[in-house]
Amino acid sequence: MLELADLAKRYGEVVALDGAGVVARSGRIVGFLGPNGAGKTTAMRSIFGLVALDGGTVTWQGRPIDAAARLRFGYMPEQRGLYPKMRVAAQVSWLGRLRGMSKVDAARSTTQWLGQLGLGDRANDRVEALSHGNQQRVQLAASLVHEPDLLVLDEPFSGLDPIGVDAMSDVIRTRAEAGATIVFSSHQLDLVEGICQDVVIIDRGRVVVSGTIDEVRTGAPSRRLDVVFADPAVRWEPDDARPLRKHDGSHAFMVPRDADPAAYLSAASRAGAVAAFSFQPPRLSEIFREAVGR
Amino acid sequence: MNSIRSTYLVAWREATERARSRAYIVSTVFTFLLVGGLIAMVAFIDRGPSSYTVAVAGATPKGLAASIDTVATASNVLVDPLFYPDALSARNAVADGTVDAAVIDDDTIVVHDRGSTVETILSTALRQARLLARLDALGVDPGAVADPGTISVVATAPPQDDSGQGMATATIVLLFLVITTYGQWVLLGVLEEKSTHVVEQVVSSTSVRSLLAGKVIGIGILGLGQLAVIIAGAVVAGSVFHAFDLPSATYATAAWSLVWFLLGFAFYAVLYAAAASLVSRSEDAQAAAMPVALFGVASYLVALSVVLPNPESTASRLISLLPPVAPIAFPARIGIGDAPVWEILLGMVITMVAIVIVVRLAARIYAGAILSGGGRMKPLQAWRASRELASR
Repeated sequence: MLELADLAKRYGEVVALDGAGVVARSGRIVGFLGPNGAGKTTAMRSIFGLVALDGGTVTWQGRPIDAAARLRFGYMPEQRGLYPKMRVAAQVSWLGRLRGMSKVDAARSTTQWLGQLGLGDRANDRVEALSHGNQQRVQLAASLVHEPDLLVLDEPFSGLDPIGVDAMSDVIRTRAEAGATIVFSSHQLDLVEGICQDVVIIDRGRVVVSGTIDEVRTGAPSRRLDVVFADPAVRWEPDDARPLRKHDGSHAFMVPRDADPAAYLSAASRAGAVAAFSFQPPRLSEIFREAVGR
Repeated sequence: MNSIRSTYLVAWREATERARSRAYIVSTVFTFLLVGGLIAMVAFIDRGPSSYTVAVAGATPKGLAASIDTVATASNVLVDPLFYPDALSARNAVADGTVDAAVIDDDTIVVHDRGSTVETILSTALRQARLLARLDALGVDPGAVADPGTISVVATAPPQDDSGQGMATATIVLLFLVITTYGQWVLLGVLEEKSTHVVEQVVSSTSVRSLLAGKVIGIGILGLGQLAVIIAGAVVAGSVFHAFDLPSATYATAAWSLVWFLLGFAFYAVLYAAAASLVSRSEDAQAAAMPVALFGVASYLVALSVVLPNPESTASRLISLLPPVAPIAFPARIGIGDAPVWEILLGMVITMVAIVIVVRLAARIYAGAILSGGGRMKPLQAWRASRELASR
């Protein structure tokens, strides 16, 4: 179990972390969300000792993280980085050895991962000769080569095409099924909703929402109300609702959690014939927008 | 133990990746050819004493061959006499170029062109032989006349071993070049890791100290290898082409140069690494490394202009003990042959103490700066930042 607690970090006048905490359990995938500058990257870097925290604790299996523990971690930094002139397989297996693998094991694992990520035929190319998306795959292979117990991925989906996104999602799920703990940050919230079991949203260095996806959705202070009128010309808006969008007779609102759905349905029916109606917990992207207030 | 393994892996990567790079192979081969070629060229231009073949025919004076030998030796040339049966064949041999000149009887010298060196030598030798023959005829012992006794020559300037001086100059230039070149490799290597952000990936699995140490060691091994190849090339080419009589201190200088390269490289490379860690863009790298580079050039100029001309002066002896100067000054002094062992050892101890201090200083700046993003950092900022990252 990875536990980040009460993290604090300032860069001069800028507050990066202000008491944020994250808990990630074995075999589970944690989505780490927040607007730009919320402190996600700083928190992730603190797991690897790449940032000097002003306060807080970072523990793995209940103990402070030392160099030996880090050898069992895999990291995909926000700023991707590989030696541009080094050949793909040599680079991945070197990083494997750096994390304690024997030469033979590192080479075998490298071949396997490059094959799985569709880079088998690029193994002897220089990294700089690869496209951006393929470099990203090499980066993923580099963070996976030693089959880590903890995988920390900073924006793993950024810059990937839909096929790349699927491949990345598959790898993340497979590793979690194998028992690894996975934390990744992302801005693609619907994607997060589909992959993660747990979610943490931070803003200005503090946690604003956390829990399982279901907890977060059912525990949200709002509900999403969708009403579709048979006649697109109908105009309708309940008093206590915040409109999300209105399009061809389809209306979406955020309403208080404890509101009565039946009251909305009867009110809508008075305005016009209702073709479809739903009252559900909000989607992650809506929770996110409400939580960060922007 | 773990940090030793990761230091080894970093060094191994540096050495093997760079040894395979075109830059290293080309520069090694190029320098090897350059040094060997220069020596071969010197040997070609300065072929040593010229030599002549001279025909001898007819009734020449008795001591002619000995006289020719004496005069030729004094003029620093080789003259090889060949005996011909008659005057005509000797004359023809000169005409067709088989020999350079001929002496016929005791009164004729045949040359191809008038005014040549061989003409002067032969006429002097013939005159001397005739003089001795005439003295002999007068009943004087020619041996007593030919050997007038020894003459002692006293020089007012102290004896100088020119080849030692030349080797010392070459040693200073070579060590400065190699230390600076490989120091620059460290500079660019650290910059590459920072600007491509690969440092985050590497440091997440090891420590900044292992990364720094491994990089300096790996590149140092390449520098040492190249220096050894150059020195071996110079010594081999020198003895093959007989370009110079190898001074007695050659092998000692060569061995000491390798030791002092390691010390000098360690001193400068960590400073270059610290300078590079402060910047993120290659445009800023040379500016950040300027103080280190200036230090190196100043030490080089001092070694060339102060230590080399007067290696035994007090100033030279003190200056060569300074850690930045010592690695290039001491091999030169060893080449000249004037450095006492205790002074060499003292210089090494002082330099090693300085290296320990510089490594701690530079490693701390490096640790504080290498993981920082953004623009150029000041050394003091990095120093402060590193206090927080002490655990890495």
